[in-house]
Amino acid sequence: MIELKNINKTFRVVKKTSGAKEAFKAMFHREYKEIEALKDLSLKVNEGEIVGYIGPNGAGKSTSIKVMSGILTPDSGECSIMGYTPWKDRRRYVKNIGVVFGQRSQLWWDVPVMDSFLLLKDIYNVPEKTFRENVDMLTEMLNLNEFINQPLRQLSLGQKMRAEIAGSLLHNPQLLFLDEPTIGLDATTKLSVRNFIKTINKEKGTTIMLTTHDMNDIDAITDRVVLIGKGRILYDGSFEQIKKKYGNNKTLTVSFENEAEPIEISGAVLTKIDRNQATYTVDTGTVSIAEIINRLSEKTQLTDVDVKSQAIEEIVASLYEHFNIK
Amino acid sequence: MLLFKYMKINIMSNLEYPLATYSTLLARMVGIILELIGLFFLFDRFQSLVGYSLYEVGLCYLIIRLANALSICFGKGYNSMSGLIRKGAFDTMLIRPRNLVLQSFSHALDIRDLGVSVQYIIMLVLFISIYGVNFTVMKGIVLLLTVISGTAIFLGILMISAGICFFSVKNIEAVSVFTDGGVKLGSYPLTIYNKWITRFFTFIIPFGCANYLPVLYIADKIDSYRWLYMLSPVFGMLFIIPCIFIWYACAKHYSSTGS
Repeated sequence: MIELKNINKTFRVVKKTSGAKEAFKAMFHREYKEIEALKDLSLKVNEGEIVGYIGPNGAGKSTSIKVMSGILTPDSGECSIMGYTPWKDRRRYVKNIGVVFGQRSQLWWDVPVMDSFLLLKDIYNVPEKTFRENVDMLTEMLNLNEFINQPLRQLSLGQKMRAEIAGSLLHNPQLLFLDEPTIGLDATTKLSVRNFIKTINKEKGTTIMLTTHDMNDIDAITDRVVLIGKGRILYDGSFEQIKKKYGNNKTLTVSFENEAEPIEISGAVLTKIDRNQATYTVDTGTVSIAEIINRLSEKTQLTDVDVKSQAIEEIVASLYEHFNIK
Repeated sequence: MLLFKYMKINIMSNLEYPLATYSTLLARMVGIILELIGLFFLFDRFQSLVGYSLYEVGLCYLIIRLANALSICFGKGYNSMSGLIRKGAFDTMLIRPRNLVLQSFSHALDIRDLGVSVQYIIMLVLFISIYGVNFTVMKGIVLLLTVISGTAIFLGILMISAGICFFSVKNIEAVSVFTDGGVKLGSYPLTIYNKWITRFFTFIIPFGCANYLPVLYIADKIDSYRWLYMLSPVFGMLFIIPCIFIWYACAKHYSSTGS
């Protein structure tokens, strides 16, 4: 479906300076610096896959999505998506893809959502029957009914996002790019968007490239993640693996009856101690939780034990740290 | 046609804000009428302008203003190209399976600009019905071609200016020397100026083809080679062709902004 080979993209930007004096100087002489947004990016995605595309801000996620959706031309490298080169066969290629940018709207701001859909129907030459079917299906799945006749500007962020996603699917694209589709959404809307993404992938076989900063999105939607940092692909594989490798730390909080002396236990780091409560960070790679509890109960009378896994965000943060891309 | 559907959705957007729309339209209409009154007073004093009568000057004046209004109306996307780039609307155009020139044309069409064009059309029809002599169908056709020609020339300039935006991101004000300058100079027959100005605006930027050349024919001032004067607007239209290519070449350079 998607095959990227050694894609490079460099932006030339004016060196940032501050202050009026510097700004005045910059009117006559500007210094440029090159930013390597993408470096030797290679990626393969099969039909029907969902790929979670993660990485810190400025890693090159959006740039690579833009290259893949035909918006940007890379400096070098090959890209073949469904047999097209996006920036060369732009018009024939984009017929087959849908793109949603979470940060900007692609529908018409001042007209009812339905009117935007009708114009998209003409832009993509969607046959009347397909259009009706799709609108009906999307309206039901994304609950568009309550606001489909309202102008986009009056909608809430969640409603807007649902409308945008629906708008990107009216022409039955085989490939869907979702760039931060859950940004700023409330919990309920997030859940329904996640469910929708999974359903559309299953029922229509749409291949999906999803970028997000919300690791719960990834957790809920897909197992394949591609980690990008400083323009390079650093990891491509299973999310479970990441969690196993970087998610070993657990937080163990124990309460005991009497005030006790701090108990040091090998394999666990005591991070906090109160009058009758202690918190340990345990690396489950070296010692098991059960063993720690055993040892603790030998020394004192435990009243309560609470074990917390590391939050996914923390896991990913340590992953970023590992790759030095924070 | 898709272009009209784009226009329709833009007009629908405008109608969401009726007060802003009507008040602007009214204000602009008053402006247009005042401009014309000024012209009449001028001729009331001087009768003619370097050999040109009120009829000829009035035609030049209204044609160029109408052409400029039409170009602003339909070329809004080019006029606001820097905004389109910065807001990411150009990215959206790129992911639509449609021609970029067409998408830019119809982008952000404003009913108020359309209103101004309609007002100039009414003025032009009124003006000819009052002052026109011996007005024939053929002259009507030439007049129509002249307006289209002028519009195409202004659009061409807007496209080049829009093309530069792909390098500078910000709009380049310097280009308005040619659009605003074109309107100001072209409001009077170009031959009243220095010959270099006349030549520049006839052969480089062919405003002459939407100005004194066809107007001389419409006002029956030409005895020989009349067909050349009749066809002059068509030559003016050709100006937009290289402009389209220049714009395309610049758009190739596009690098999107933001995430």
